[in-house]
Amino acid sequence: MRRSLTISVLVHAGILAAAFVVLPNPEEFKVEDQESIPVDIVSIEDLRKTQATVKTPEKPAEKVAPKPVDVVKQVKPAPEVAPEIKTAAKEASAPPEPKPEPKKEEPKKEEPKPAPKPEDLAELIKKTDEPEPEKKKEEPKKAEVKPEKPVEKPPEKKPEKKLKPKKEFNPDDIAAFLNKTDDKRTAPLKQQAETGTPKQGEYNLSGIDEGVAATLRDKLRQALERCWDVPPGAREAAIVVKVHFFLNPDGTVSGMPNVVNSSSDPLFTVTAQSAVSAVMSCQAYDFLPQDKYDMWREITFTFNPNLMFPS
Amino acid sequence: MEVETVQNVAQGAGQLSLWHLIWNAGFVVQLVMLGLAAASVWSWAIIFEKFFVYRRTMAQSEQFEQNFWSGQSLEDLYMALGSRNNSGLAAIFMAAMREWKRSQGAASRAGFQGVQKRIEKVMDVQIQKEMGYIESRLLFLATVGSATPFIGLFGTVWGIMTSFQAIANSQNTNLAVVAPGIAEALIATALGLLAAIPATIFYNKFAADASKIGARLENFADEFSAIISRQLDERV
Repeated sequence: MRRSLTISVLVHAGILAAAFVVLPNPEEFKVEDQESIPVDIVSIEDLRKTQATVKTPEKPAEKVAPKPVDVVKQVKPAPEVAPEIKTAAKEASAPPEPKPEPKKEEPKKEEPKPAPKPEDLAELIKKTDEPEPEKKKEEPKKAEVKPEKPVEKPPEKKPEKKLKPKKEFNPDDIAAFLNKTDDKRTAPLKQQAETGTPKQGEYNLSGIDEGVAATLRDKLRQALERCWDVPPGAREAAIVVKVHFFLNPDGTVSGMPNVVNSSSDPLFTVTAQSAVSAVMSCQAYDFLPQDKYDMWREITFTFNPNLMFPS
Repeated sequence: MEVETVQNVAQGAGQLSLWHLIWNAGFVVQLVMLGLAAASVWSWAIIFEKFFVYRRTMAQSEQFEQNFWSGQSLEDLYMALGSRNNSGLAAIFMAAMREWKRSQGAASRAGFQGVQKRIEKVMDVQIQKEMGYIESRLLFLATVGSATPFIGLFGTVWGIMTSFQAIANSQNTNLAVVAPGIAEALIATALGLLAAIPATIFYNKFAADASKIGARLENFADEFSAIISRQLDERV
């Protein structure tokens, strides 16, 4: 038995040692680095302000667009490029073919970029336009290359045409949302935003900031959604109840809420009661900012089961 | 944030080797793993032992049967085997012959009826002894085969329990926090299975072998008692 035991111990020790050699650290899962997308939590008021300021400077953005066209005109006579191509053209008639081809690809690759910066656009168009003077100088010198002209010219014009409509999309709109995080790209836009800041969002007649109001309304809606027990059938009947109530500064309801609208639907009374009880049971609304009490002192809230509970 | 955790994981990878996992395991899990390793060592010792014993027993039985049926006189065989430490068929034969020698004086006085019974009894006892030796420790294999998975599972459950407690304390559900504890705990189950699988397989094999050897011993005892009975009848 002793012999067997020693054999067993030896075999175990051997296997254990082999396990440490053969089974090293398990390989890591290769996680490809994901591009991190910085996300800012923006309150509705801020969003509205940015939207409001961005909408106005559409005109300066359009001014940027025509610039490249001017650049194209300026570049056309460019004399520097000419001697290079002359020498290249002298060498062989074939080389010109491959040269323009890669350049054709360049604009294609850059097309899908969602919001090209105006400066980039100018550069891009410069690049695409560079071949133009080349060919104009080649054409007179070589009649043999003529068949190439129709092939090369259309793609040169296309990128310009395709890029222009993109500006109508107004990429600045998207950039405006990003301008909080990225400073380089939207640097010019920021200036526009600064110039637009005096507006500070749209104020309605009573002088209440719409953005802040929207945020308050959103908070209130969230609270009331939780408190409201929708009576069965109200959603199908599309009953809308408008409740008018006053709030005390501490967030409690002052007096009784009263239903503003009316309906002949038999379910309406039940729904109205449930809405009123929701307003009462949701007290106190102490999440509303104290310093803006004048904005939420008096509230008319619309209970719409179909809008409040998107299903 | 994401980049940080990825780096943490990369640094922690070095700590996830088998050795680190065993070394950093909790006390209970380590105890379970130690017990399982001991069970595995002991069961393999039994497996080797039984393997040698059965092979030897089979070979000896084969040789003895050849000698026994070779036509050699039983007295000569008895004299030849007397000095050796016999096992298996030879041991049964020797026990029977010893009893026969001892009974000869009494048999001449009291007749041969009692002698045959005594010889059969002695052979039965010897078979029991031999089978006891053959089957010894097989039960341990059976126990290891059936119990170690549960022991390993206990270690795993305990390890996961403690690692979940640690997770709850660290307030972080990141996989990098959860994974090492669970990997560590799972080693216990792996060890349990590692011990149980060979134990079960070899228990089944050795149980079949033992019953084969037992049947062979019984057959020989029956044959030998038939021969003795014939010889006694011839004497009368």
